[in-house]
This record gives sequence, C-alpha cells and structure tokens, in this order.
Amino acid sequence: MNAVITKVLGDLRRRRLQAAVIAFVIFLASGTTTLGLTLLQTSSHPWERAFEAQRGAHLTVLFDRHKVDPEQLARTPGLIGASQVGGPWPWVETSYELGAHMAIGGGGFKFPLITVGRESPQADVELLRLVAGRWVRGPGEIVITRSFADLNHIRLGDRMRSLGTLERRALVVVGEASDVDEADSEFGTQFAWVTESQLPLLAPDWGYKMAYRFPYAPSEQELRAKLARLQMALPAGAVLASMNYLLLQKVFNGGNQIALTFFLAFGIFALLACAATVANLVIGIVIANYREIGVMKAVGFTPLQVVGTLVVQMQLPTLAGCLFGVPAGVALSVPLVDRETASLALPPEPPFAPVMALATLLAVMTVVLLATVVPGLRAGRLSAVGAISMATAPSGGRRSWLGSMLRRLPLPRPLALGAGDAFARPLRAGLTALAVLVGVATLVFATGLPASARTLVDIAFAHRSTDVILQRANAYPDQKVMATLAAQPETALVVGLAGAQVTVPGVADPITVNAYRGDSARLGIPVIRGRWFSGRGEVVATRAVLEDTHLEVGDSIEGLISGQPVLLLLVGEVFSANNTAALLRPTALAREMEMDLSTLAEAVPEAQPSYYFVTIKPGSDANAYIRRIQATEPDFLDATENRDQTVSGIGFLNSIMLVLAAVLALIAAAGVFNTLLLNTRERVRDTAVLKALGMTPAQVLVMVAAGAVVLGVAGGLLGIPAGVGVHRAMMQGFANLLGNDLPESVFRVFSAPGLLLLALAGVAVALVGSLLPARWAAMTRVAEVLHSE
Amino acid sequence: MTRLIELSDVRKLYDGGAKHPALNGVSLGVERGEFLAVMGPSGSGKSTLLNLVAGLDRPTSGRVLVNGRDLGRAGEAELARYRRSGVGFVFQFFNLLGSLSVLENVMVAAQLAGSGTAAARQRARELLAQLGITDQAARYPARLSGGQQQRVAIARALVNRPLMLLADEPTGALDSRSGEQVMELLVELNSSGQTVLLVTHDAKLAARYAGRVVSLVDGRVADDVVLQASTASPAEVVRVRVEEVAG
Repeated sequence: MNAVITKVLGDLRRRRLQAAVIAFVIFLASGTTTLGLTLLQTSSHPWERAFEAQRGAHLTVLFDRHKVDPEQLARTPGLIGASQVGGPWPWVETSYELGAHMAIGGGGFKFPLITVGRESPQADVELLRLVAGRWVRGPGEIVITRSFADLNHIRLGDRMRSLGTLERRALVVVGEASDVDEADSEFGTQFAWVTESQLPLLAPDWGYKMAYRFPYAPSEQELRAKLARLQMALPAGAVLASMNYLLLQKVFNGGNQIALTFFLAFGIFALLACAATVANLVIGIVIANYREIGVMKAVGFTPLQVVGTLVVQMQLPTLAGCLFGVPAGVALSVPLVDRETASLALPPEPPFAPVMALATLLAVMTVVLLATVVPGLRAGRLSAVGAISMATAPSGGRRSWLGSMLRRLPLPRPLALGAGDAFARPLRAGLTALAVLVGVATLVFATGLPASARTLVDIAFAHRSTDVILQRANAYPDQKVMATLAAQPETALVVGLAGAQVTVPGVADPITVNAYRGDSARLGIPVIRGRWFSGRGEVVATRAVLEDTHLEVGDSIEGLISGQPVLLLLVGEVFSANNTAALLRPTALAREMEMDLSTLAEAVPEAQPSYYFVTIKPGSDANAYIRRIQATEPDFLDATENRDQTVSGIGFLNSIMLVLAAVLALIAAAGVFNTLLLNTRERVRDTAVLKALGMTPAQVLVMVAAGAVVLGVAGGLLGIPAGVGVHRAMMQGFANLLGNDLPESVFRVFSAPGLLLLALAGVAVALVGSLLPARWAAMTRVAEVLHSE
Repeated sequence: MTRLIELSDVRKLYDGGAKHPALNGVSLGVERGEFLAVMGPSGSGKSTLLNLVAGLDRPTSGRVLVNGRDLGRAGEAELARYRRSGVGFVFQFFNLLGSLSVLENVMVAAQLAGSGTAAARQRARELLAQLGITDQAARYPARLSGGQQQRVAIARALVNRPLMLLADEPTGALDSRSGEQVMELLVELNSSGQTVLLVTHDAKLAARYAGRVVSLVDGRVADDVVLQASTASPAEVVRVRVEEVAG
C-alpha cells in the first residue's frame, strides 16, 4: 500500500497540471450536481410543509349567495365527507386602485383582488399566517398577501381604494399574510381580507367561500366526485368556481419541477462530460506510460496495485474538486430555495443537505472510478515485458481512417496534419467531441429556453396585435366604452372579451369560457389544429378540454352556460393563452374554450365584454391614446399598453441556465485542453521533427489549433441537433404539464444563423481549450526532444 | 569551392553549465560540396555543433554563418524557413512521422516549403525511385526495416534540394550492411555536389567516407584532418590522431 501511495504522490507531483484540470472539471460538475440534488430534496417539501402547517383546504368552493344561504352551506361538509371546514366567508372579486402617495407612485394603478371577509386569520381550515402587521379589526382596513405586496411594492400603511362601488372606499393595508391556498401573485389573482361586515360594502355582487379539508388526501377523481355531489345537492348555478389543493400543489411545484428537471439534466450532462474527460486522461496516462507500467510490474506491483495507482491518482483531485464544488452548488441553490420558502412564508431553511452532499460526492467519485477502472484494467493486465516492449516498439498498429482522410485534405499542410492528428486516437477524439457536444447542446438549450419562454409569454399575455388593453368596472356600461373608443381617431380595431363558464358532460369542473366580440381571429391566438371559430355555435378549445371530454375537432357537444343548454361545435384546438405564462390561473388550468360572444349570448343574452383589446392605427402614440381614454372615466376604466411582459421566475431560471451552460462550456474547454495536452505530449517528437523540417512556431500553433477546430466542429455539428432535440423534449414536457399543446412557434425559436453561431461557439470553446497546448507545442525545443532519444 | 558554413569563436552554454560549455570557442569553415565528418566522444559537443548549423539552437556567443546568413540573429520563423530550404536532416532514429505513409513523409517537407501537392508528390516519387524504395511508397514507417526507414529519411532530407545534408549518427541504429548502404548513398550524393555534414563517433566510418574529419573534445576543435585519396590508411590516421588529441 505504501508503494502505491508513494507512486501516486510522485505521479501527482509530475502531473500537477492534469490533476488541476481534473479538480477543476470535478469542481464544476459536482457544483452542478449538488445544485440539482439540493433542489430535488427541497423542492417537494416547502409547499407540503406549509399546507400542513396552515391546514390548507383540499377543496375551496365559491358560491353564489343568491342561490344558497349560510344554513345550506353549513350542511355541505356532511354532504362530501369533509372533516374540517372554513367559512362560509363572504367574498367578492373587485378592482382596487393604489393611492397617489404609494410607493408605486402616480396613482391610477388598478388591479383585481378576490377579497374575503374574515374576522380572524385563525380557522380550522385555511389558517392564514401573518407575516407582517396585524389582522383587520374594523372598517377601512385590509390585509393582502406578502406575494402581492412584494410584487407591487406595497408597504404597511399604504392606502388602496376599492372600485367596486361608487363610494370607492379607502382601505389601509394593516397586514401581510401568507396563504397556501393560492398561487404566487405573479401567476394568479390574489386574495385579500377585510372584516366580514366590511365586505358587502366593497361591491354588490359578493358571494360565499367555503374551504373543506378531508381526513385523508383525496385524489383528483375523488375531488371531482365531491364537487359533483355539491352541484347536485345545491340549486343549479350555486357553485361558481372551485379550486383544489392538487392543482395548487401542481402550480407551486410545477415551476420547480421544470427547473429541477433542467438542473438535474445539466448535472447529468456535466457528469457525462466529466467522465469523458477523466477517461481520456487515464487512457492517455496508460498509453504514455507503458514503459513505466512495465517497470512497476517488474519491480513487484500487482495488477491490482497498478489499477489502484491510477484510481487513487484520479480520486485525489476528484475529492479536492468536490470539496469546493459541493459547497459552491449549495451556495448557488440558496437563492432558489429562498424563493420557494419566502413565497410560502416558511422560515428560511438552510439548503445544505448532508445526504445530498454525500450523494453528490459518491456519484462523482463513482463516475470517476468507472472512467478510471476501465482503461486502468488494461494497464493492470499488461505483462511487464509486454508493457515495456509496447513502449519501445514503433507504433505500427491500426490507424484511424478518419485521421488519414483528414490528413489528405487539400489544405495547407499544418492544417491538414492537425486535423488528422485530432482523430489519430479515435476513442480520445470521440470522448472529447462528446464533451464539446454536451457543451454545445447545453448552450443551444439554454439559449432556446429564454426564446421559447419569451414566445410563450408573448402569447400568454397575448394578443400581440393588440396595442392597448382596456378593462371596465361592472358599474360602467359597455356602450359607453365602445362610444369612447369609437370617438378616438386612432382606433383601428376593438375586440371585446367576456368571461363565463361552461359545464360539459363528463367534466366536473366548469370550463372557462372566453367569449369575443369583434374580429377575434386577428388577435393571433395560436390554433394548433383545425381553425378559429367563425360564428355562432362554433368553439375552439385547449387540449385539456378535448382530453377530458374525449372529443375531437369536428365533434359537437351540448354544454350548460348559466344553466342554459348550448350546442357547441368544436372547430379547432388552441393553445391556451391564459394558462401558459408559467401556469397562470390555477382555477382554470388549461381548461379553456374560446367562442364568439353571440354563442355566449344564446345562454346569457345580457353578456357583455369587460375587457377590450384595442389595435390603434400605425404611427399613433399609444400613451397619449391611453391617457385620453383614461381621462374619460378614471375610476371605471383601466387602460394599459400591451407592453412586453416579463415573468421574473422565467428570467431567473434563464439566468441560472446560462450560468450552467457556461459551466458546461468550461468543462468542454477543459476536456479539449486535456486531450490536446495529451496529444501534443504524445506527439512531441513528431512536432520536433516537423520543426526540424521547417515548420514555424506559428504553423505548429495552427496545426494544434486545427485539431481543436476539428473536434469543435464535430462536437458542434452534433451538439446542435442534440440541443434542439433536448429543447423540444423539455418544452414538450412543459406543455404536457400544462395540459396544452404548444404552438410550433415555441419550438421554432432557432434561426439558422443563430445555430451556426452556437456551433461556432463549440469551435471557440475548443480553440480556448487548445490555446495553452498549442503554445507549448509551438515552443517545443527541437534539439532537446530529438536528442533525448 | 566557396565557403558554405562559417563558425567564428562559437560558445554554447546550457542552463547551469557555465563551467562546462558544450562548445567553447569553436571556429570552423565548411566549403560547398564538402563531405565533413565531425567526430568526438560522448559529450564533446558534436550534436550541439550540428544543432547550431541546422538552426535548431542559437550560440551563446560567436557567429554561425550559413551561406552568408547569421543564424544567431535570425528569428524563429526565419530559422524555420532556413531549415526548410537550407537543411536536410538525417537522424539516428529516422524520426519519420508514424501517422504518414512513406510517400507522405517525403512530401510533407516539400509541402512545408510551399510546394503544391502535385509537385511535392512528383518530387517525392523521384527521390524514392532514386533511393530504390518506390515499392514502399504506400507503406507506413513502422512496417519498414531500419535501412529502409533511413532511406526514407534521406529522401525527405533531400526533397527541398537543401544547401547541405546534416546526418547525425545516421548508421547508429542500423545493422552494418544497411549502414554501409546508407553511407554509400551519402557519398553518391556528395559526389553529385551535395554538401554533407556527418556526425559520428565511428572513426572508421568517418575515415572511410568523409573527405575531412573534425574532432571535438570538451567543446573544442581538437583536430581537423583533410583526407586525401592517396592517404594510405585514412582510418588509422584518424584513429591515431583522435587518440593523440584526447590524450
């Protein structure tokens, strides 16, 4: 054993640079893997912990107070077997305006909130955790969610004004709460709380909210059955909307799962690239040291000790790399874990998980062990005489046909020689090209993801052809809005949107209906199959609807809208605009139907749009237009420019992706460096001969760099389709999670010049890796090399 | 004959070797068309001398002029260009490129010197024919005998019609018959006007084939003998003089 350690330490001293390369590569790979595994451990926990701690509702139902009363609602838990219940609490969805003195500044900023009347944050179900301030005590006070306060920079003491009635009551923000029964404010409409007596004063059309908890965790199917039972037992139309915990869990964990999948994929890629680099290095060491291996055996090293020498020689720098890589991965995961826990108001939890750190260490060391043992065994099996004779005999073995072919290319000699040398050892070249491939594929994926996300957000916040989005308060009539818009000379197109719900056979939850008035086809909502509706009775729906109803495009179905039967002909499948911007509205996740307002009017003749998508004439000033519209009725109209939207979660994810892609590129560069170092060292005599024949240092540089370019081109060309494939697979997975089919535009985010640039990035990565070996080769001292024979 | 190589008071020190210079004040001239053998025991500085003349190394002091060009003042790229066209190098261990065929090994030197592929191939074939190894053109060096490999190395050295052929122990790795064939080839080339500078420790070889023998001892020129065709026993003359000089 002592002999092995002595030999290992001697080898490490002699191969300091290669040991440093291994340690560096392992540092990057272990960091990435730790990040993925740490998130794996933490991502599934925060929501579940918060859900239990806050006694979250398995099922939340919103009721129409005109159809049910509190006594009837008090009997509902027994109907569906709920063991605990919260409510009935009065609720209403209404708009608010922030006061002029508030942080967001300027006034006129309006937003909808579902406001609930509650006397206390305590309850048997849906216990609210106050994270700042206090609970409401009387009129004029409101508590909002921390998520909403953070997003809109609202502080305690700020004032909000309810726009639900003409009185426009002012409310002071007295507290911030965390509610596990709703999604992040970025993704969905938020709840807010006032006293029960205050609520009916905020808006006239308020209803009741009930929160149910069951003695066991019910499945989706069971929850649907329970909801159906409620609908059967109560008067028609009494159930307005429902929300279940599985959906929320999906919403919360969905984003994390996507991120997690990406990070784990990066970790696996990194380990793969790492294995390629280490295997390359060990093979190189074995090839370069046949004589030494022979001598080792001659002096008494057993085959196992020979393998052990190589293994320990690789494991020591691996350990060193992990020592820094694992903490770095943990450090990188802190902001990600914090984002999760903060949104649920959970106490910050140190993300360091010893099990995961150990798992990373074991995973990395195992990968390195495998990469070492395979070529190491070859060295172990060699006989002493065999090894020594292999070292001294001229190499007359098989030659790489690819290398020979490249050497014969009609290129300047240094270029052709370098290109051929890159494939002189096909396995080494293959492993190096694999490292470059992984790097390029990651770059492709990491650049494609933001572009796809951008496309999704554009579609989700939709209506790219729309310049201005206008929302009217219920108290303000549609005719006046239309008259105001018609009076503006810049108005080119107005499409109105009314919301409703339709119940169809076989689907327990009502499906969200978007009913348009005007030339809605021009809004540009992507049709995946079939066509956009063209008149009364025709509808288009999302994949989730088609799957739930087992319908195909071309089928008809009878739905119930406000209790009235309506015959609907499915003419197309659309991409759900509302549900895509990072799992936007949990209440209607991916179940959505688009139709003409005339279709909705069959059931609800008084239905009128409350949103208006306005396209203005080219060259018009959108801001001036908005100011003019807003000035006509500042309290009841909310006009906003349809600007580029951002979803910070996606932006954050993108940043991390790009960092990880850079990490993979670095690993690839290290792999190329390692390979070229081995190549140049093995071929130092050939290089010296070529210099003796008149090759200039610059030509030697070109020759080595040419080898790198060939590897870069090979890795780059293969990395492009691999990256595009991974991107498509990941986005498809994302789409499946949403229950949507993504429009082709989400996949087709790569341009030919862009991909060419990325392939060139592979070449650049390889060139970076070749810089030092090429320089060292160019500096070869011919006299020393050729006379040390 | 005109002078091709001129070494003036050349000193060469290697790192840490200040007390024992590899070359210590060597002055030497070589005429065009001459066949010069440099002899000396191990460590006498023969290979250093060859390296300086080949432009593979620079003198610490003194001047190395080849065809009027001061190699000590030339840059790396200029030296590389000089090696391409001015020098043909024949090594003891052949130093052929194992990944290239025989033909390609010869061609590569021509291509480095700027010849087009067709011209390089043509010239390489001529030389292989001249040296009697045309049938080996497509083979790889590892498949050839030592003598055949050295012939390839000589063909490669001649491909750019160099000013001089530098041969460093060219028979050192060959059996006696192959060695003789190689030496006869060098003599044949010399008789057609090729300047040859041979480094060897074999007095017999030097005396038998060279026209002039320079002996180096401890980095100094210890003897410089021009052998006439009439010399009765040139090998004996050289052996005796070397022994006298070495003391």
